[in-house]
Amino acid sequence: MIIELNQNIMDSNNSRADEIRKILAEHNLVMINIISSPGSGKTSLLEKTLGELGKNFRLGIIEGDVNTTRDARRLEGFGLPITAVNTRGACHLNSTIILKALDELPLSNLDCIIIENVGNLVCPSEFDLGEHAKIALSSVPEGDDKPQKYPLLFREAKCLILNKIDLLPYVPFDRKVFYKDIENLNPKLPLIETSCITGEGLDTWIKWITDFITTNRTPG
Amino acid sequence: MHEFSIAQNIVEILIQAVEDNRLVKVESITIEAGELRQIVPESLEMGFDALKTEIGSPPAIKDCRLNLVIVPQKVNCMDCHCHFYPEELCYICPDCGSINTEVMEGDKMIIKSIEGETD
Repeated sequence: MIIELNQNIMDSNNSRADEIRKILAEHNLVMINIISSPGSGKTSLLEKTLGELGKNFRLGIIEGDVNTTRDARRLEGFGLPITAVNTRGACHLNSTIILKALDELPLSNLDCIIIENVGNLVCPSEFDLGEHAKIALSSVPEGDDKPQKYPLLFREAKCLILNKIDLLPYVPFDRKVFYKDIENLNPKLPLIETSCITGEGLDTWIKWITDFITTNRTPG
Repeated sequence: MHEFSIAQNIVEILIQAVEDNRLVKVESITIEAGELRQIVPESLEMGFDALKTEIGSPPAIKDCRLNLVIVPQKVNCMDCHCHFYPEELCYICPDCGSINTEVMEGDKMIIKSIEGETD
């Protein structure tokens, strides 16, 4: 006999993501999930963001790493609450991991939690973590073809950062191709160019994230 | 390799369905995966085959076949209400040029059905 199930395969992950949304709402917290390839500059961007953003908001960090806690250690100097999550080889964070990580953060004393996902363009995009926004980070040396190759992330993201633009003169990266592909894939996606070396564009990014957190928190 | 996590979810749901319906043997399970999910069929099958025969898995599922159907994307234009397939990943409406579009099909992963036997 044939039994119709019509069940979403991601149901168990999604229901835990709903639990996370409830916890975030109770604490009036905004959660951001940064996703990119390994080496595109997630930790560097955070190093350049946390100081400035920390002036307006009380921040907490969930630092995902496949192995080691090196990225978490890089951010220790900011004196912010950080939970280092080691996926022990798994290529993405899921809502169970985040739910546990939230337990270790002082939620009542925070305004915003930033998740640095495991470096990977495919798997992290699949998993709803209960976050308010996925932020995609792409970098110039990776090439201009990433949106075409990994469409899901660029569809799901609420903001896209093109990092390492200081390398534009040295590597073959066709800005027109990149911009055209993004316009086709997700015409409403804000695209911000940054360089963590020269500092270019960082003020635009910090303004975007400041506005996003403010809009998504209930005043008072 | 998000396929392995996905296979884990599939097997969990399958085991639950076996219990709920008191199945003694499951012939096949049919999965519909949206094209946008970028599932590699071989990887999903490999994960599923490893998990269904794992020690502790119910014997009823050990010969279960995985049928994977890839669902192409279908996009709805919220302005002119036409439906289109996003050629070369372009989600701008080909009829009216609107950017107010939404994916209707081809972005989900669903277990459609299982085929099995009861006592």
